[in-house]
Amino acid sequence: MKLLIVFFFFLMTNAKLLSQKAENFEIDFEPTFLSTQLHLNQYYKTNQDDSIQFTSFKFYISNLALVNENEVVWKLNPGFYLIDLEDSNSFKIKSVIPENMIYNQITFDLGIDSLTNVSGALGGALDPTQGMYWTWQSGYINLKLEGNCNQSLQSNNEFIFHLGGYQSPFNAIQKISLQTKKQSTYQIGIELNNWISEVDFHQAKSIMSPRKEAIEMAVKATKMFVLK
Amino acid sequence: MRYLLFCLGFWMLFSFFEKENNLFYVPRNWPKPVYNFKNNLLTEQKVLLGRNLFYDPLLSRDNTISCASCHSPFNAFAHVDHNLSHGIEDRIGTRNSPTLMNLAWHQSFMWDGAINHLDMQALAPISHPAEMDEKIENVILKLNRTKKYKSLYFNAFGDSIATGERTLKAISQFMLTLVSANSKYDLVKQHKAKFTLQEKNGYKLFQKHCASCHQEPLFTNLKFENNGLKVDSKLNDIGRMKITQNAKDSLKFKVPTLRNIEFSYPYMHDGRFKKLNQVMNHYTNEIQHSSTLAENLRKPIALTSNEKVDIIAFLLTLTDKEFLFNPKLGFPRAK
Repeated sequence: MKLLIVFFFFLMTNAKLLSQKAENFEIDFEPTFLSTQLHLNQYYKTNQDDSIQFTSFKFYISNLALVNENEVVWKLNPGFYLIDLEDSNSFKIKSVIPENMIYNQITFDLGIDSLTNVSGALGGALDPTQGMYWTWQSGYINLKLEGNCNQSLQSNNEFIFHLGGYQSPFNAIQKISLQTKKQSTYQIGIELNNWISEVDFHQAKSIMSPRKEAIEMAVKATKMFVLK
Repeated sequence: MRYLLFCLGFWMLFSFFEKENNLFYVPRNWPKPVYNFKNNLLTEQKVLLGRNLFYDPLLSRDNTISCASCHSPFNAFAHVDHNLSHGIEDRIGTRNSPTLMNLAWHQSFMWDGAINHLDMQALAPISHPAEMDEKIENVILKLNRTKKYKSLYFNAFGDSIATGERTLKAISQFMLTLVSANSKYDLVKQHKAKFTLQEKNGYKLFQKHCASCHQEPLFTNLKFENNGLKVDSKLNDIGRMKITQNAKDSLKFKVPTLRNIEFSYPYMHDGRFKKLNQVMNHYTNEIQHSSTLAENLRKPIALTSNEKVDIIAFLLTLTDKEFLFNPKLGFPRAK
């Protein structure tokens, strides 16, 4: 009997959700370099006429939400997506949202929040076998970009940016907000040039631990997201 | 009324299960563990899987080194006779491998607290070039190819697939069962044994001079402290500061537990002392003063040689033979 009452109570409180019709929601990420499609291990010419190649590019998107007038109206689950240039299936995020939702912003985090960072072993996109977890000091790598550029003074002209860190004062997670009109599919460009055109490869040192330089670099990286 | 009976029945059933599941317990009068067991419920099968992983050299690049290589049960899961940890191809690390016990009460791991969760701890030695020098991705590939593990994972998780998450959680499960709380000291606290006069005097001196950092019942306050060791100019280890990049943490290391100290030599983060009397002499005569020195070491500690012997006598009461020689925690032999 008690169980039945609990069940009815559950139904009542969730009636609103159950009665709502759902509609599809999809994000397609489109990685580009100077507007041409981005591929790993291919040489590109920068605007400064330098030659650049990317050998690894992956990052976490989390906490995806729809926002109306600065108020979150819907959170998308599950919360963590690993976008990996090696796997084009990872460029699509599909979900369902309630019908007739009103919103004017899509927001998400570039990286993994601090609570998740201290929650122990996790699976799926967050499994440490994804190569996005630091082993010698706990914490997720929010964003990984590796490659080489003729301007780089490091051996083999390499550059390595592993950006992460969840503890103050080296918390590297970044919030991204994109103004939008409502539609069912969004194309979000990842224009890598918007980020790396701000990097002085002649000066830049590799970043592979939580520190000030990682945060500065992560701020620059936020500029690559453009709603099409 | 019927509801009450139902609840009572449920509670009885539950407490029965808890007793049956004798894998982990909180000793009487101990604080609450910090490990979140809800996210990794202990089962016999998972602990067994973790125990197999712990003793398996498959975890290292050339299949020669297991966790137990540097954490052997007879040394309270530390590394006997090696001041610095000794890994693959005879490579030598920079720190003394710590004991493993009562880990459910620890918030962070390693001498500098670099690891924030027990689940993530195993990743560090697996990938360290002077330890196992392997990649977790490759460990998982090897596990998925090994017949023995198919049934171990199946029994533990309901299918035979090894993943990073499952593997790390299983290793955690085994490490969580390493509870040491059956030393003579514990029996004295439970009024089941009595200290000798010497041990009693040693306990008093311990409480006065040592207990602020080596807090009972864990015998560590789990904090990071600078205990005034002279900096080894070759290792030049700044300790906790490496992690926080804060000068206030310079030369601070995690306070180790003193449980089973009789068997966990050598001592200190770099294993510089082989004998307990060297440790005593350090605290009375060799403290190096600096801005980060632990508060309680700022005033000199004066102890007669008899008093030092008494303290050592007390420290030996922290030996828990039941823990050290528990076959359930040892190498998993096939039945």
